[in-house]
Amino acid sequence: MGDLSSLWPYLALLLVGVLPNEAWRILGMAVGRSLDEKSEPFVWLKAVATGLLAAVIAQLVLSPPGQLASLSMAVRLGATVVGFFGFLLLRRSTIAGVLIGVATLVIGALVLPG
Amino acid sequence: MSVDTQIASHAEPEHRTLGYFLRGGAAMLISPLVITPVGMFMGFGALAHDTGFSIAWTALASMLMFATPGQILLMTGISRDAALLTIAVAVTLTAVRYAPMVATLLSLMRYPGVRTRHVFFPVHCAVVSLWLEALRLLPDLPRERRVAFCNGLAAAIFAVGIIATVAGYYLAGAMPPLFAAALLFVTPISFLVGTASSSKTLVDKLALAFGLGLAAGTWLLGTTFDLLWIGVIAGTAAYGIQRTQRRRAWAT
Repeated sequence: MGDLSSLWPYLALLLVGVLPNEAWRILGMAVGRSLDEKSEPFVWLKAVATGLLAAVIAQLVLSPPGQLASLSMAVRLGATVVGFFGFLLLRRSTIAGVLIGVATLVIGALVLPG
Repeated sequence: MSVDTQIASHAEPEHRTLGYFLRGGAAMLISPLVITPVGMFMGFGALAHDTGFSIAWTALASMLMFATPGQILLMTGISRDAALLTIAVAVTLTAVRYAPMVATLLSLMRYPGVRTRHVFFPVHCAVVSLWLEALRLLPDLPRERRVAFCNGLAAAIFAVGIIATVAGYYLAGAMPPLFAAALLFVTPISFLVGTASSSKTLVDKLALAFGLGLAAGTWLLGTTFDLLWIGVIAGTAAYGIQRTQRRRAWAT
């Protein structure tokens, strides 16, 4: 029984972790192989993936995980908006946007605690 | 097909392929988007440590799944003795978003003679940061170099993810709360500017705006997010608007 219980997390990893996770990547691979990058389905699929990602972004800011949840909504939203405008103003530099956003978050958390 | 393959393999000396592989790796390492997997995998490693999983299991989970949201759900599921089917469904729901990402990624790597084994590694490592960088950089590269370049992107992000997992495992508890919060915030802000940066067409900009708006709307209404549906609705609406715009442009 000792062997089985120490192996169990590894079995679970393969069965209900790797399998249900990787299946979608394999499916995407099968679809993408016969998909022209200038075709209409490509444009639509990219838009769906972008929309999905936008929803993930909103979720991470509005109902954040872990320690981020301890910061106020004003700080989180403010840092997101300031970072985005930093990106737009500084010649669409992603690194500038990220750094300005994170700096705003840290300063905001120190100035407006809770 | 086999003739194409032969021509392709004769025209491409090995060393130039290695060059593009290394360029891909370097591109990923200097990208600001690399901070996102660092934060996410460190977070997973720290959580695994605190939940009582072994370092071997934790590192193996990152290597075989390479998807932190699913890994966290699997880990909490196992530690709380949840039903296997429940865990599988939860994990698979977080992974649905990889299907359209991988499909568009593969479409950019289409080339005669490209086999599944050549693209399997980038497919396995397909996470948002890799997808955004590939979408931004691959279209400007010659088609026959994209597979090597994308494998370079994947190798770099995979190494970063595994190192961050192990680092997070051993640094668990030593991180100041504000540092941990800032690390977590890197994910949404880098995804936001990364998506804005790679959205060059009207349809992608609209999809980004609609997705943010819809998700914020459902959050305000207090309903639970269904990320997949938000993606399908936002993307399809953006696509529809762009199509009608184009028809009008053709008509005039």
